[in-house]
Amino acid sequence: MSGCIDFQRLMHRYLDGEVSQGEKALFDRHLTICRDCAREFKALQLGLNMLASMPVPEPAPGFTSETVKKAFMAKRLLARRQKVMAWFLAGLTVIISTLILASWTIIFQPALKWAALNLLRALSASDVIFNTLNRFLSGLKTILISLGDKAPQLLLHGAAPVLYGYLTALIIMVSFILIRRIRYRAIFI
Amino acid sequence: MATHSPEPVSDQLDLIKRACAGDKDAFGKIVNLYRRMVIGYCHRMVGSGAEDAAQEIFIKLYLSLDRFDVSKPVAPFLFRISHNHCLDILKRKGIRTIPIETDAGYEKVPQLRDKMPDPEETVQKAELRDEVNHAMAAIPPLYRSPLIMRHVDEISYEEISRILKLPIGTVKARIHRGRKILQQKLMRFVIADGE
Repeated sequence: MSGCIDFQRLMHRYLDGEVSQGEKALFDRHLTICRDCAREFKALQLGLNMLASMPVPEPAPGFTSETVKKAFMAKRLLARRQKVMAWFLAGLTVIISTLILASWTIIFQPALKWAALNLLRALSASDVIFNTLNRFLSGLKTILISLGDKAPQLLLHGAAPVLYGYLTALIIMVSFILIRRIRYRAIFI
Repeated sequence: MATHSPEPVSDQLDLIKRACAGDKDAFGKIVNLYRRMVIGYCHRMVGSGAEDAAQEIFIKLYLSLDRFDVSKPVAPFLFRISHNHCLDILKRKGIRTIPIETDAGYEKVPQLRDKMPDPEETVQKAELRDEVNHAMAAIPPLYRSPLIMRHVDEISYEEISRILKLPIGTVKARIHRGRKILQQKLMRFVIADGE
């Protein structure tokens, strides 16, 4: 042990009982020659001993029975709350799904039709407007033109299930996460 | 953590199964087995209000019994719940600790009838206890918790790292920092004591 810095390092290992016989001898010797280190070690030892032997409050006489009663009541309450929440989320899922379906025919379908038709129009003027994107657009244009009048229909029927599937999956995922969160939240009376 | 496995695993398994099935006596037995350990930990972590905290911890234990792996001992699981719950309490209150009421409702330390305590020694012990309480309050809860587990409950570093779900190096560093703060806070006491 070269000095006080090594002693500080060794002190933690000493407290954990991880020192060899030789290290223990060096440690004990350093304590006799260095007053500061001896004080530091004594402070820590006193603190840890007191912490371990500190008196702990005795639980109140009815502690166990009261705890058991509250725990069982909390479980009943939790189960009831979970049931209510599950019904609420199920109802919410139905409402949101209905709204999505309704919005599909009112908003998304006309919007997709409009987008598909305008895309074709824009692509027909692509030579003038999008010179820099010509190569990419011309590829896309070829595909869409080859589809002809079927393009809007294909977009509608291809995109509809995907979009609807994503939204429904998202709602189910959010509902599932919410149910799980509620499940693990403790209720204290 | 041999000191905290008061029940053989098979008995414990039976108790947990019965408690899960709604047997109040079985859960009461679990509470009785671990209440001192939990109250002791909470008392050192949050100070006053340890009993309420312990009660809430047991309620949390009961609510999560169906998730508990019965092949493992209860104590580490209970320590994990206690650690998280005490941190929540301290965070909720926005303070590091709650001052401990001295002597109120504490168990009496058994003493020999023919041996009267030395008044000076008693005063000195009370002073040291106050100093340690203040020093503990100065230790951040994240260091305080593993320090208590290591030095009060004598849990190994490996077990603490499993309880806190932290690498052993981090656990050791936190305990060393906690010790350092405790040591620094108690230096004044040791110097005043004339050492």
